[in-house]
Amino acid sequence: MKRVLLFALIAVIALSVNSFAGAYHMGTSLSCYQCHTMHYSQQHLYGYPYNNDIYLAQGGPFNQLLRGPVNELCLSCHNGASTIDVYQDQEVPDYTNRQGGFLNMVGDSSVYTGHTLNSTDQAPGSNPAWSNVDGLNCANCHSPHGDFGDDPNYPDPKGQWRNLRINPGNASAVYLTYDTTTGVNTERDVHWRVNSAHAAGAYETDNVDFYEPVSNGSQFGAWCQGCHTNFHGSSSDPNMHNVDGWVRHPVADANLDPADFASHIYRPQVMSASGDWGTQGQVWQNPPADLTPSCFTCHKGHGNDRPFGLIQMTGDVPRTENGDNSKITATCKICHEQGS
Amino acid sequence: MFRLVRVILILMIPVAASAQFSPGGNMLHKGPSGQTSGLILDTPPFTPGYHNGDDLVCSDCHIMHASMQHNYGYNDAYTYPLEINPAANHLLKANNSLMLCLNCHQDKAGVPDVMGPDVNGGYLRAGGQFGDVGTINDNGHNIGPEPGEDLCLRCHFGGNFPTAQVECVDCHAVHGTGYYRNLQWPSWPGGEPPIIAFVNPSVSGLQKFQQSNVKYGGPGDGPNQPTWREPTNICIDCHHIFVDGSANGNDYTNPDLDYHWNRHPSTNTEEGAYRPISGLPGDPVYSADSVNWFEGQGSEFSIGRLPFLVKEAHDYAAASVVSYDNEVFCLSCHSAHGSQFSFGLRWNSAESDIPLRQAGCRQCHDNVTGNIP
Ligand code: HEC
Ligand code: HEC
Ligand code: HEC
Ligand code: HEC
Ligand code: HEC
Ligand code: HEC
Ligand code: HEC
Repeated sequence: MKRVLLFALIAVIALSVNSFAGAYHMGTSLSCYQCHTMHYSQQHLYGYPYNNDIYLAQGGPFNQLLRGPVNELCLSCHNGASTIDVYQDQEVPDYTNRQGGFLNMVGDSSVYTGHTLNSTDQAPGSNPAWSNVDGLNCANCHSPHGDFGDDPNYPDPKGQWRNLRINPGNASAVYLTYDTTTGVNTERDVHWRVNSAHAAGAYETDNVDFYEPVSNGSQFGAWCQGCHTNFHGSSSDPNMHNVDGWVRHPVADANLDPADFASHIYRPQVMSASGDWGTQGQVWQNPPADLTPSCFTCHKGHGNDRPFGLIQMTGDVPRTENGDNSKITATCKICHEQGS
Repeated sequence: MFRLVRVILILMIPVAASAQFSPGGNMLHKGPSGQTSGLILDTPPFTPGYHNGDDLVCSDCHIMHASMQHNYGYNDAYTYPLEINPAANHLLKANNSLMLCLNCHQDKAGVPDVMGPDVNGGYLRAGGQFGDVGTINDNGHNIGPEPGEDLCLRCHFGGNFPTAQVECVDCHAVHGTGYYRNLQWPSWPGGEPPIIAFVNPSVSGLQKFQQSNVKYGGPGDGPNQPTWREPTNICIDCHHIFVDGSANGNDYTNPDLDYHWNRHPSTNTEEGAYRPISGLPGDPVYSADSVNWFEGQGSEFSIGRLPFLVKEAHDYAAASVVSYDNEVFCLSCHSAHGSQFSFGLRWNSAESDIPLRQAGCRQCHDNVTGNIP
């Protein structure tokens, strides 16, 4: 019942908003009161729909007039029933396979399966060393107000993919553009098969794919590189490649063997310059020769239940957040035929 | 140290409360009171309004024998014959002071109407509007005829802030103060310094109460200057924990003094808090949008420019000047009595259109939304 109400409300909101800048929490869909309280005291609601709970965390008032500490605040909506759930299992299974997977938190039984909220560790591969001494939080990666980017050429829909910061970690001005169903554009970084954050399946893996607008680059890789400095680059970067070949696994500038890859009926996400990703569930006849893996091919951005947040899929059954296998070899064999 | 003082203050409440806080002194107001000598130095010239001096008409409010068959020969908004039964304390011309005021100030043409929709129509009242008597009003102050003799106990020691009530004579001095709207310190009536705002000198009649003809100023912080106060000086008496103080915030608004606010800043000259929209001097993390405020363009201004305070303005003209360093204060966001909208806000926070729902916030923070039109 609660779900039905929720969807009705979402529909109302979707109808009442005509132009979307970014997908949500941005421009015309950024709602101050969701996250801020003026006096850390609130006796009643504001009266608008979709505002059915007064959340004020213990221990305030908090800096920047926030309703709670960042992680707790985000999870007050993004964990549990009401909104796309990004922490651990979904209490209400809205999604079969969340594109981002899911986060864990310091104190959880397993903290080696992806990004760990509140972690003060240094980001692996960061150079200069990057860590959040107050603990890793959602806003380290997502801009709470959305990032428009100051890039004058920045296209429509305006705004970063998933409100990812343009300045993660040590990086600056890393733009991650996307298209939607309303205007396919292979010059973008991400292809989204819906056109609104309120659409069904907005966060489903099957509705996301990646273009390769620059043949030796990956904007997604560049974005992760904000913290994992040494793990991304092209074949001309010494941290990735020397005279003898790759010294770290490529995440750009390397085409995978299309025959091996396309022989699986289910495949992980890769970059395709032409916007051809084949059809999941079918052997891919005539795959393009320039498919390139990047970070998301092997890892879930938030993490999942496998070590390192790796996707361990055989390619025989539909994709899931963890993959249908639990061996590291599955991650490799989806592209490499060695040993099979 | 601050902590200790607070604990002591809290311990003092029951004692002090039963002593009714007046006229001996006041723990809530940190600045000098009007009873301190030498206060008039910097006070702007002010023409007192109604219920003051020659315009304090005893028979507006008092009845000598609780019975009158006809009026004095002028229309004073009462209906005669009039009998007050039982005869009221202070010879009041109603059963209690709330109903006394409402006899004229509710739905009487030609008198400022402070209740619900405006009987005089067609203009936005500076004070806004109350809801019904004796009900919980989510859109502003709850009013009731018996809010409780002791102010402090309405919210403390068994009192309950959300359901507590106020009455007119908490905030308005019945026999006048000689200053703006006869505003007084509820915790120490008569103790207040001159409280001033500016009414457009070229208007008369009910136009004097129209929001667009009222502008707000506050004293500067130079020597001999802080001798008068802005109208929100009275909010301190009941909303002490929302009140801002000192150059960079206080224990309520910015406990770690790190330039990141924990409660929204608001100007409070009594405690040296000046909050220009252009930010504090030397703020390393300035985050408001004074350019947007100054330019005044976009759908966020369709609700009208929010009220602001002008530091050191001593007249209506000076208090009308829009600039980057106009100051934010309680009345920027709230109407004093209440409004049609949740929390007595000055814009419709229940609007289904998200940008309009927060039009008020966007006047000063449009950069956050990427300056949507
Ligand atoms: C706007 C209404 C109003 C007007 C006008 C008014 N009074 Fe009062 N008066 C009151 C109220 C209400 C009280 C009760 C005070 C209280 O409840 O604190 C009061 C109380 C008094 C008292 C009792 C002592 C005190 O000060 O509390 C006297 C005496 C008095 N008034 C005389 C006058 C005289 C004389 C005039 C005309 C010059 C006058 N009042 C005009 C409302 C009014
Ligand atoms: C007999 C009618 C009457 C009663 C009773 C009455 N008022 Fe008034 N009041 C008026 C009128 C008329 C005006 C506006 C006169 C004008 O146009 O300037 C006014 C103006 C005011 C103002 C604005 C003063 C200014 O010009 O800045 C305040 C504040 C006020 N009243 C408060 C009260 C309070 C509080 C009470 C109850 C204690 C009360 N009034 C009782 C008739 C009344
Ligand atoms: C005499 C005490 C008193 C004074 C003075 C006072 N308030 Fe209040 N205020 C209350 C009480 C009690 C409540 C809570 C119950 C209610 O909603 O009326 C309240 C509630 C409010 C609310 C929330 C209303 C709602 O429905 O959610 C706002 C906003 C407010 N006050 C603003 C102000 C401002 C601004 C000032 C100064 C101009 C002020 N108050 C002065 C007693 C006071
Ligand atoms: C409109 C409601 C209201 C009224 C009226 C009120 N208070 Fe408060 N006061 C509060 C609230 C809310 C708090 C914060 C929570 C608490 O401590 O109960 C508070 C806190 C305090 C504190 C502790 C301050 C701190 O820093 O924690 C003191 C001292 C105090 N009040 C004194 C008084 C006195 C004296 C009066 C009467 C003149 C009074 N209050 C009237 C609502 C009110
Ligand atoms: C919480 C304090 C408070 C209470 C209670 C209160 N007032 Fe006011 N009133 C104010 C303030 C502050 C203003 C000035 C508003 C402004 O200029 O922004 C004001 C303004 C007014 C005005 C001028 C008209 C206007 O809309 O600005 C009148 C008349 C008035 N009040 C009458 C009343 C009456 C009658 C009552 C009781 C039913 C009452 N007030 C209760 C604080 C209060
Ligand atoms: C920047 C706009 C803004 C300013 C300035 C502001 N408020 Fe508020 N106020 C709000 C909003 C919005 C709310 C709704 C609740 C929230 O966001 O915490 C609110 C809520 C309130 C409430 C109800 C609290 C509750 O527990 O329900 C009171 C009382 C109040 N404000 C009084 C004041 C006083 C007194 C001042 C000046 C010291 C002030 N406000 C300054 C915007 C503001
Ligand atoms: C009249 C102008 C004005 C209005 C209206 C206003 N603000 Fe502010 N706000 C400011 C100023 C000035 C600051 C202090 C900026 C600074 O110090 O960097 C501020 C600070 C803030 C902060 C803290 C930023 C930080 O770094 O700590 C937040 C959050 C905020 N406002 C939210 C809001 C919301 C939400 C609303 C609407 C309910 C609102 N404001 C309405 C002027 C305003």
